[in-house]
Amino acid sequence: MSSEPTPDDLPARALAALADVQDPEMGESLGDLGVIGGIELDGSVLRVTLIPTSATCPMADVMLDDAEAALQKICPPGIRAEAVMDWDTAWSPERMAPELRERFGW
Amino acid sequence: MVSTQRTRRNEPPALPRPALAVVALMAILNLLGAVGGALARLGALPTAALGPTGPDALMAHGALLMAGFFGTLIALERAVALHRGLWVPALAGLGGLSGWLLGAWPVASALWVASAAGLLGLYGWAGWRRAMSLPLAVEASGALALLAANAGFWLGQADLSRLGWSAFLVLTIAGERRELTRMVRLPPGAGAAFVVVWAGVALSVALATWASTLAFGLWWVSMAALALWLLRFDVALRQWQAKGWAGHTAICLSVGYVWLALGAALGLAGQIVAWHLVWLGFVMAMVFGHAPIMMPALAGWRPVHTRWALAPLAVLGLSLVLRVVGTLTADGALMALAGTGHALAFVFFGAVMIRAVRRGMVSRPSSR
Repeated sequence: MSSEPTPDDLPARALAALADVQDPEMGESLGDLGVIGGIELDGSVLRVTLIPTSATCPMADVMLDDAEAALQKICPPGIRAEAVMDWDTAWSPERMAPELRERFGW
Repeated sequence: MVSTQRTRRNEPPALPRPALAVVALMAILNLLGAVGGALARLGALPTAALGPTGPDALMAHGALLMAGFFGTLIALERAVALHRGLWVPALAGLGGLSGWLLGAWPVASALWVASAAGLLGLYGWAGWRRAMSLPLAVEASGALALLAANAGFWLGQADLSRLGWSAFLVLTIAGERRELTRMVRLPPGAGAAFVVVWAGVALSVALATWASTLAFGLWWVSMAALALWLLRFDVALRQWQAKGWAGHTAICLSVGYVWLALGAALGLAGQIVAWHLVWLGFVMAMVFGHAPIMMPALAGWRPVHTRWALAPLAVLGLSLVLRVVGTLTADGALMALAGTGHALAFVFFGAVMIRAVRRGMVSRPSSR
């Protein structure tokens, strides 16, 4: 547990925590890959929404688990982390971090 | 870590791990029959009255590997991803066991056909309820090729089976790689070139029964084009230095593309050994590359990364060189040695993975 967390700064802290979570196949962070669709504090649930790059990848659950585990570490008592997939939003390369885009020729 | 078997807000529950383990075991037993049959064929092991070196495994070694092992494994991955349809890989696994354990080949064929139809249905569901895309369509066409191959096996159409099973694996891999290569900026025409290659593979399967010479020619041209496309554009070639297993996966994939290119060259030269460069060099490199990153999804295991996991790939490569030389020189002893080398590579890889998983359990005692 991190020190002195407050609900107001949780989304920003969550984004930093997710920087350590990687896509298993690419070895790049979820943030750099642009798969973090949103982070919200919904009552007692800190929820991150991920935008999938694949409809049939069996590793999606692993990424959700890893994201939840990373978020739970920064949650104060009484707050539960949750990661969900947003199947209605299409991922596109524009979402990637500038450094990664540059590496991949964009 | 958090269990993957909880129910998320917008998903049905994940498939139960004990059931996944049973189906995974069926896949492994199919692999055992396939490898045993192969070693008996090559003369590396004596034949037996029954079991993995018995006449059924020997006769249908290819079917067991393709429809039995890969049919089960790939459908299992899709079922896990979609949280449904575990019966699809289960039927494929049972089909293989019905064949090599019981000799009930009509039953095996029927189960394989049903499983392939189910896999096609899983892709259809994914496109309908999640997202339709070109890569998904490519993978679904691989399932269609599996269906054609399994029906061909049932009806005794050997060319259709050979091309259909091979297309199943190649298109499944190609679809997955095309999906990830969306991250890379492709030059003009590269996307269209991929679609042309896809069409070439699909057409070769469609022609298998009626114009097999043309179908095989088209197949090897398509394999050459696909290998060049992957070697030129796939994101894996930029990820060798990636952290942990991702770098291992990228290296395995890249090596596999070289084997695919060599296989295509030998295939165009009319050499029968080309098929095993595709099936063992290309496809098994994908298996070695993806196994460590699939284990968390399939079993909840978190193997600790080790560079030793690349060593079995080298053993497999050396044994393939022996296979090529043994085939080209018609040296039976060399081919038997090559077969032993293939099997050693599998066992070596399994041992490295077991050690990596055990280290992972020690470092993450709370892991499932």
